[in-house]
Amino acid sequence: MLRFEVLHPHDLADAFDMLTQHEGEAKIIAGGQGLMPVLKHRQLTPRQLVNIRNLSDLDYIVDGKDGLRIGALTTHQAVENSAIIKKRWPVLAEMEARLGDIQTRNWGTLVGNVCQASPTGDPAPVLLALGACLKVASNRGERLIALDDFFLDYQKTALKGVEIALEIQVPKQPARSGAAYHKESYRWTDSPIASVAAAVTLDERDRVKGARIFMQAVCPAPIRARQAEDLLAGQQVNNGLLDQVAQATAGVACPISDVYGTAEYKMEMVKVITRQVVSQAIKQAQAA
Amino acid sequence: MTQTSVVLTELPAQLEVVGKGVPRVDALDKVTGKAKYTGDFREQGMLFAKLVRSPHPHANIKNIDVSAALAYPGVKGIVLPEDAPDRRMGYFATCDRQVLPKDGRVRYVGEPIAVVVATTSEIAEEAVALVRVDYEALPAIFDAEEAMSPDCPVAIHPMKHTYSKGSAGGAVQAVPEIPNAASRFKIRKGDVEKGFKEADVIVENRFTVARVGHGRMEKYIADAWMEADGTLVVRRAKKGIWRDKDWLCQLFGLPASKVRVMESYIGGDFGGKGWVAFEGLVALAAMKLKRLVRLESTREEDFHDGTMAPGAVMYIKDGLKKDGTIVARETTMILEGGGYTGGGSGQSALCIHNGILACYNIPNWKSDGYVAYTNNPPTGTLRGVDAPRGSWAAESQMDCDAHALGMDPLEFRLKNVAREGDTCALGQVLQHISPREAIEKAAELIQWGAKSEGDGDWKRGKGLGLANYGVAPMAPSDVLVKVIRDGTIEVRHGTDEVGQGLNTVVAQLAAEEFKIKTDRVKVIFGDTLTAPWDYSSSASRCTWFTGNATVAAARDAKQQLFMLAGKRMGVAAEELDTRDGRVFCKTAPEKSIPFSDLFQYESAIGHGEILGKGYYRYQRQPFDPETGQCANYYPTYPYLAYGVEAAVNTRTGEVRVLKVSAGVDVGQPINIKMIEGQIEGGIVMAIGQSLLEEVMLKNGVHVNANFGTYRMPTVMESPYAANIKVESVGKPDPTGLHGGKPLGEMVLIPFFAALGNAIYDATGVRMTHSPMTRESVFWGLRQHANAH
Repeated sequence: MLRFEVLHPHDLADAFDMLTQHEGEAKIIAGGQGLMPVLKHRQLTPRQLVNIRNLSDLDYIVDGKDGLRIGALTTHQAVENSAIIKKRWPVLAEMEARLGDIQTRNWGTLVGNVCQASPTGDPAPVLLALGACLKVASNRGERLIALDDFFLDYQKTALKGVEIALEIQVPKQPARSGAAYHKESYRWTDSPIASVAAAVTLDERDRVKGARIFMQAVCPAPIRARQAEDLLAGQQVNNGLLDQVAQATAGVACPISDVYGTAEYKMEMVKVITRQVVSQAIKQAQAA
Repeated sequence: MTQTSVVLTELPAQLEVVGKGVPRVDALDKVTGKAKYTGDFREQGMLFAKLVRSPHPHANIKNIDVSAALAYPGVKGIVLPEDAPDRRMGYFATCDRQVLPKDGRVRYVGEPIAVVVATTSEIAEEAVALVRVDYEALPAIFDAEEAMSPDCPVAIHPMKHTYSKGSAGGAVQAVPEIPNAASRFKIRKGDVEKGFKEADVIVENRFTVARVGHGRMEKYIADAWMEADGTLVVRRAKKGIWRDKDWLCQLFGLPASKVRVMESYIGGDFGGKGWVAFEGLVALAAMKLKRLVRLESTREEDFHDGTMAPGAVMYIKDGLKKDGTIVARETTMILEGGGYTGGGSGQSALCIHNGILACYNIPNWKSDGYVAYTNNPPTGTLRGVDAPRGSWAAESQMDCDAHALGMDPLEFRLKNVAREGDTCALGQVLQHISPREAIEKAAELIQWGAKSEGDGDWKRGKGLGLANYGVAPMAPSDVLVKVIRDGTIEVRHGTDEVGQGLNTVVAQLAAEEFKIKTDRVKVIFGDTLTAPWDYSSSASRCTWFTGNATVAAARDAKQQLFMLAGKRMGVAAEELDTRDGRVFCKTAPEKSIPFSDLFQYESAIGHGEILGKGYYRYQRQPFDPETGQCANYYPTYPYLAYGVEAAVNTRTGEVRVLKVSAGVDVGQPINIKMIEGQIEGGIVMAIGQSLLEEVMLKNGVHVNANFGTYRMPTVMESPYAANIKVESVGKPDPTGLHGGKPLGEMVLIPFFAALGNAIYDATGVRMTHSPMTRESVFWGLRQHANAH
């Protein structure tokens, strides 16, 4: 049986000390929705769990002039149902509405999901496409990590054992921007067979000024489709180009065959989804 | 006290409670959380058991070393194969299961080898890891057709010729000439060779279906203890208290008076809560340690022990005349039974035919059904006992036949549909049947013939499927009905409330007899000390068997009541009737007396209560195992037809079920609300099994033994309730209870092919494997596009 101690820090400083004291042995638990299955399958066997769920001041959604900030203890449910997110960041609300079941969304946190770095996590590709950063801290101070540099490998991130992620920061998007995310899944809220997020900015003549495309569930960690982005750059998008972009995106996917389907099928789904999300993002940008 | 068995012939119009959609009698208990399930009972000082399980699909056990586990603090004892009785158990077909591997061989990954008992289940689990077992691995086989090959190098049950048949095992045969065949069932009707010679067109196909699980919420759990007088008591989340009592007596050589079996409400069964192995293990532990021992499975273990429905390979060949007449059918159906079939799947050699054998008038029919042993986990009964598998093949084939002849699938079905007086594949003359009305109603409700429009990437289509179902005449039912002085009627039955609504049905039947509301009926069940003999809630038999016995018992009690009242009132018993807790004179209703007065008057001369007894049994004619022919194999033939409208995403292969229509022939329905409920639930279960669910095994090891990747549908995958239309079309069956026929398992059977036929209608892709996963539909579409 897995035996561990659950520690309840009074405040952040207390939590930092606990993590430092048990460096390499302790894991942070907030909602536990990503961590519990990992513990159950003994993929991790920590000696201590530092429970940050009851810390105050980390549950917030703020949409300011620089962009969006979501606190570490903000649940998926809160993001999904936030009026400001529905209005200004609809891609996030839509993504959250299909993440796990309602119980999972009530307990699990967006930041926790990012830190868990599951290869099937829905938030990562969306936040990556939007160019998000993670603010993390330890008793040695704070630092900002671009999500581009955060996901290192299968369930491996740039977060150090003594650090706690405090908030996700999503920069304000330029004018004429749009973003879309879609997953293909067996059931409505299942983990993805494959998923793709795209964020696009257009110039005044509908040519693509900037594009960021990320895939999930088809690699050990979320992966960027740079070649596809390059194909879009400076172009007005048509069906032919969408096919090329879809092809190029699938070109960097490296899926495995598992209970979610064969590698070949996942590759085909990447193409279908890429077409869909890129055109959706462009429509949104045109409407913005 | 008299015993009676009655046939009821009231017209539906005379019924006041039966046929109405009365609320369930257990609804309040269940929605308030007051209903007790086995896991709700806790006893001070109880011990907890965990199982040592085989990591090998096929191996000989060389040695078991329990020294380290026994020394582990908190461990109270370990039960080993040497403690187990040397007896193989099984129901129906083949007694091939042992409680523990007494023969020194394991045949699947997860097979129990020893039972570790400790003060907590956590300690027991830790000690399980300390048990050292030395194995000699044996070659293993996982594919049913390979296992069935005469030159298969692996013989999984080399001593199978010595195994006996289960209690209800008359219909299927042993197959000594095929080493890995567990059982066979043959149908030989007419002359199939002659039929094929007369045919203008021959249509041949091969269909396959994956292994599926029950997905019930409540897992296996059983407690066992010994009473001071040496009585073994087993309380468990299983059905069939009397059947388990018999089994436990046989297994341990105990007299009938020394075994007591109990159950509570059951949190879902779907056919998987009948097998006795778990009770055997926990009883063994209780007897060895003389303590109360609980054995409860995890969700993963529930998949190992869960008597899942076997996968199957089905070959089907039809001979057709140009005018649309089916003149011959030949099938070979092979079920992949796993390491043991005693959990019920041995019988599937027969049951795989049970949804198809009375749908159409086919004069020449030859079938061979086989169950094959493999080294996958064992299989058993699941709602419909594999009739859904046979129906998947045969009703898909019906559409293939129709298209081969250029006929409309509805027209082709109506051309061949069974009529009153036709004989089914088992040679039984069909009576009081309405399959034509069922299929016509399903077609009408789904607007058959009106082309449904697609939308963008989504193409739409419609499909039909028809099924019959034979309620299994396994064993008799006894029921007791008590009249209590406050006017309450108490019904005691010995079968199970697995969630299907039996307690409501018996309450309705008793209420009808006494002309009272169902809330004046109290239903007692679940303990062999207090409930009379019955078999089990199996094979959709309860309404027919337990229901008939309930009415007989109520009439017996009424007769005694009228005798008593007649003496008091000075009126002949035949002149009396009852309503609302009073006995009254039929010719002068103002002359009446409440039950309470009767008891006061009579108690002085010894009438404390009135106890009526009723029973029901069904006498089957001789059965010929070489031809499968029997004059009355099943007591009745209900029918169900589904119409399905589905949408297929041509880019992803995703299938959505939009609308379902049901034409139901259950004769006179007993409770129309529960029929609609059964059908809606059955459709959701069928959507899961036909689109999403699949027990995945790799070298005999479960890959998806969890509800995350064993994907049962949620509300998001189900059609809107308003898009499910149900109509009852049957005519009353005068041999049945109030003219009614059974329904429970049939609700699954015709869905699979109806959906496959709708996918074909939408896309031109003929699916031959179920589940029709989005990936398999995707590749089907790709292949179809390349070919056209």
